[in-house]
Amino acid sequence: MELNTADAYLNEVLLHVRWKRAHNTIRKELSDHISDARRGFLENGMEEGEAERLAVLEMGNAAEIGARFDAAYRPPKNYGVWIPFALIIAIGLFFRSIRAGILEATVFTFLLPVVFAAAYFVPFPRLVKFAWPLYGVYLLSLAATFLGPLVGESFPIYIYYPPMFFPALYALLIYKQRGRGAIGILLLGAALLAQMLFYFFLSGVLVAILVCICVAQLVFAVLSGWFTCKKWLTALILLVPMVPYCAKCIVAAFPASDSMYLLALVKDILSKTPWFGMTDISLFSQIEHVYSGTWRSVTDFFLVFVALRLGRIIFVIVGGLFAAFFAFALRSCFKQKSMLYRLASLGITLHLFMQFIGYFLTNLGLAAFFAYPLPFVSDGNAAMLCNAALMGLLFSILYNGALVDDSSAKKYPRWRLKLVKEEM
Amino acid sequence: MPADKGLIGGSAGMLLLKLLEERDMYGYQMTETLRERSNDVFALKAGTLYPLLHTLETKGLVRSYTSTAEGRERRYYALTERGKSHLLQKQAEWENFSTAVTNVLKGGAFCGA
Repeated sequence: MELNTADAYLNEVLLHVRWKRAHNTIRKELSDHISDARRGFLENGMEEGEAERLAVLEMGNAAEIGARFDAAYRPPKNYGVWIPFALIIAIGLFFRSIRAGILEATVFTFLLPVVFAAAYFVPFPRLVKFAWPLYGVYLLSLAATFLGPLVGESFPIYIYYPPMFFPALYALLIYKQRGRGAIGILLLGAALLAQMLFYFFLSGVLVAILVCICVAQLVFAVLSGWFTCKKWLTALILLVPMVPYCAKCIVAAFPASDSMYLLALVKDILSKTPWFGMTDISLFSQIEHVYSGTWRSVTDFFLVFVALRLGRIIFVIVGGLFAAFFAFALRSCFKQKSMLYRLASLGITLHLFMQFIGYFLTNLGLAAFFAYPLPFVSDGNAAMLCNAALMGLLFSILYNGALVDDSSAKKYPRWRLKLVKEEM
Repeated sequence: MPADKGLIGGSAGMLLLKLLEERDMYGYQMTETLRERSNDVFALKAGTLYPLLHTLETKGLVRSYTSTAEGRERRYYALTERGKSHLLQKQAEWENFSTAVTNVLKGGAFCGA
């Protein structure tokens, strides 16, 4: 079959490319090539119809080229990230079904994929246009958490959740401000500080971790030459005040072994727990006693709770799965061609990592990060849904990253563009 | 006279990398330059060119970016550092191979012994 028109030819090519998200890129490039070839024929005195027919004919067999593109555009499988993630979810749902009952586990089995899928299909790069309005919504959501005490909560407990999304939002803001030099950086600094005004109820450690992640994102963008300023000097100016502050807050989470009764208690319980098999589960009542109740103690020390039933091996299993997940996820983050995707995926992965490491160390009795959940495993329905949304976004970035490249999208201020044009 | 597809196949990637070593180019520019420089021997069809470019990009040997030329937005390709070292290696391999083929075709030193 001879495909005369460019459109018919392109449609035929794309029929053979299974990854739909690659279609626009391929269509645009081939269509440009056909236009160039047609123009060449027209300049040689050929008629319009004949020029197009020949231009298409020169492209080669549509099915063959489609098959080649299909082979070139295989979406990354990312098994190294998917498999540990699926196992973490399975473990989380298993424990949830035992602890909270089959009904809650079933509800979450359905809710988790819904939230994950909703985030997965968010067209993240398009949100850049709405970066500042989204920041406004974020500040409002932080303010809204203060309504909690008005309706009977002892303190704005939901203040923990909006900041989980801030590293992804900050990536959008950095992208939006790129090329704006010192003013852009000042605005980003102001955005970081302004949201911290709401963090009265968050522990200093949590705020420090969030600030660390955001400053790391900003420094990364500065060092990549996104702000048309002296890279190393700017990075130094950003890091000098932040490093001592963050280090001080984070070091505070590692109290001396005997200074915190709860951590000493956890260490003592774990020392009496074998690697495999059940031990005296009443030991956990000592932690419950500190909390004056069961619910929060199980939430904060879930790994200890399980270790008493299955043995300390649970630490190795859960730690190993999370370590595998983060190793593969970080590797994929650095492989991103797009700076926006790299910043966002790094921000999300680091935030999930901090949750894991904080929870893990607390459950080993080594540090005091009490506010963080163990993503998808420990209790906490709202935290689990927020993490599902973050994970959906992360997987979307890792899956579609091959198609997004903003390396040419560096924005320069007008004066610099003028200089570049003059040089040309 | 255009060359046999099989002869071009293995070396097409190297030829594209060589073109990009000189300057950044878009697809159509590459086919035309290749055709001109080889006196129409290498008539690389778009069907071979673009999937190959995309594969080279996935391997990190080239990178692409969009830029406006002649009033139109085009996808340009540029050689990466990794692509440069890959090109050097392929060029060395090709020189060994072509010398060997030429020697055999000429009935070289060992053939007469």
